[in-house]
Amino acid sequence: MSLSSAAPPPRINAGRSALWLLAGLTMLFLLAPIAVIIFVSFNDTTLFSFPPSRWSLRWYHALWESRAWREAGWFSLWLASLVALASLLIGVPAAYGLAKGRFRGRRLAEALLISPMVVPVIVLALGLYMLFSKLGLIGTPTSLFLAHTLLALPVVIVIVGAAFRRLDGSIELAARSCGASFPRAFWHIVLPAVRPALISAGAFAFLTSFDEVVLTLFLGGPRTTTLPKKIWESVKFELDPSLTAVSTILIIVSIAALLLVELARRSRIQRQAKEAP
Amino acid sequence: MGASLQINSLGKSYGPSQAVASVSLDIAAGEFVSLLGASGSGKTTTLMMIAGFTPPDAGEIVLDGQPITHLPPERRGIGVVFQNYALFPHMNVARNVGFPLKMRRVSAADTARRVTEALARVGLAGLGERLPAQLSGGQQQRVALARALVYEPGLLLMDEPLGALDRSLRETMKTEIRRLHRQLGITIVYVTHDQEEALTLSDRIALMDRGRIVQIGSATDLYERPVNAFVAGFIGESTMIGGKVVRDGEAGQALLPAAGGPPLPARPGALREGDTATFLLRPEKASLSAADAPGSGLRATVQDIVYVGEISRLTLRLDGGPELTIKQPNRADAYQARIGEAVKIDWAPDDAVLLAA
Ligand SMILES: Nc1ncnc2c1ncn2[C@@H]1O[C@H](COP(=O)(O)OP(=O)(O)OP(=O)(O)O)[C@@H](O)[C@H]1O
Ligand SMILES: [Mg+2]
Repeated sequence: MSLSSAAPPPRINAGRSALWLLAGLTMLFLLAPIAVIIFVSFNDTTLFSFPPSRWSLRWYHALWESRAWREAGWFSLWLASLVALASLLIGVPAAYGLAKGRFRGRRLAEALLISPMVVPVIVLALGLYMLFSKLGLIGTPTSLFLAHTLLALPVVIVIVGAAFRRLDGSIELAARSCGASFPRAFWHIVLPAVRPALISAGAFAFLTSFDEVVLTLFLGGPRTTTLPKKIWESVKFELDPSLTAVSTILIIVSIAALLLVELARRSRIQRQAKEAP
Repeated sequence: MGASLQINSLGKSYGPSQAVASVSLDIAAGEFVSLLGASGSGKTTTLMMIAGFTPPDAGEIVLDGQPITHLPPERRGIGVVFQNYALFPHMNVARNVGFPLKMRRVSAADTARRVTEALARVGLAGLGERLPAQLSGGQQQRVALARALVYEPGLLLMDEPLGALDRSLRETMKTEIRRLHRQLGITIVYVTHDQEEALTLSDRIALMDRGRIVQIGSATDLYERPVNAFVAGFIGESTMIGGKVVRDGEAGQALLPAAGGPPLPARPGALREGDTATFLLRPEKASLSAADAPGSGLRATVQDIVYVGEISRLTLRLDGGPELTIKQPNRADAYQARIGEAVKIDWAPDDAVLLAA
């Protein structure tokens, strides 16, 4: 505290400029691939020329005209939405039990539920492949739904669990003493009190599925073409500039989800700012 | 109207440690009872068992004649106020206070009227639209009170409700709580570790130590007639001296200090001559006079004098015996001693107590 209040007036010196330069170059390195893709997607030639010779929306138009791409897009959206919903429905009660419960094996249960986050995806993919082939699920949308939910569940449990742990437990007791049964106290008091975490968890669960490639390639078939998988397949045959348009759309969806998370976080920060007298 | 509450041999253990051991209480309708005790003495655990949040291992709880030991908290109809207020952060004040009515499916019109009434009762009229985060600590505590009282429970439980408030606000809230108790005739069980709070608010105080009630009684009972040295030491100031009980005059008793010195007259009690005992004298019960003044008394020397405004606190050493602390009012008609002076100290034997050691 005392350091920041006693900070010297800003001064331009060699060290500081070097730092800015380094930071700038790092940013450029991080953003360059994204920038290139977005630029090329608005280009009017069939070649990947950069910078664009003429602006146009022809590749977006081409995408829209292609039934295969449209179907892949809808499938991805549906799948990610269902995965987000399912992982919230399972993950929120699980997170609550893990955060508030006192029972034997709680640590073990938590470790198991979070393990898909730490196990290498390729190992998970292999395991699921063997399991699902036994069950005859390979190539079905169900297999992807199950696999993606498995991957998204730890995300929900970690985010929502942290919020439950931070939540003042006496709020729930107060609700009970006001005449609310446990389910009503949970629904009317506990869940609304962690709403920002629910939004974040839902958004990250959605993105987990929406971006997923490895499990999708392993477990999918012709009936389970998601956007990332279709990109992968298209790249193998030809470098169609439509790919840059799809990629741009993927980027926009991801940014939209992150914005949602940020908005939820902001509303919480504002509430806390008001709490401080 | 208030509800009566009986607690019979309530017990609760966490692993090997007994948080509450065989606590029994019989509280009349409309009574204000405090559970007083040091940290970890089992006050909160007892309160949480009454509220229904902690299942007891043993014992029984009866509210207004109905056994409620195994009822879930939401079906007990008991109001609870928590130390940290526990307001619902996402609801405004009116919705917080209206929540118990919503759970009871009271109509919207009735709810609005009763919420307005409840807020007026705690002095928060017109603040219904605020969020809890926009209120001061004292205001939040009032909202918590209004929420606990809005459905007119017969019993109100409060766990250190003033613990998070600053000193002057605590005084104001104490007055408010007394007023509400008088106006509503509600039964209150109040947990605190602050003896002054307990003494000023309660009809009766249950002093707890290591999961047990050591003594229950009025403030006067605990102060004037403590059952043992623990109670005497916990409530108020006192001088305590160990020794043996001896006969004093016809029917009187006194304590012969183990460390030597004259016998100290005290109220005759259940102890017999020859028993080891602790002599207890409250500092304001003794009076001081010049060494050569007529009348009874024991000779002593003034060791130290500390001036604290309305009184001075004097440390005296009895001739050949132990030290005593007394309080002397700073008035012209009270004897004003000097350090090192030989004086005479006297007290009514009925004001000193002999406690089993
Ligand atoms: N959930 C729990 N698990 C284990 N031990 C507990 C639990 N709750 C209370 N205890 C123990 O039981 C004893 C009594 O606790 P309790 O909270 O009733 O004390 P208290 O009188 O309210 O103290 P304080 O004034 O600090 O609030 C303490 O030794 C405490 O450590
Ligand atoms: Mg406590």
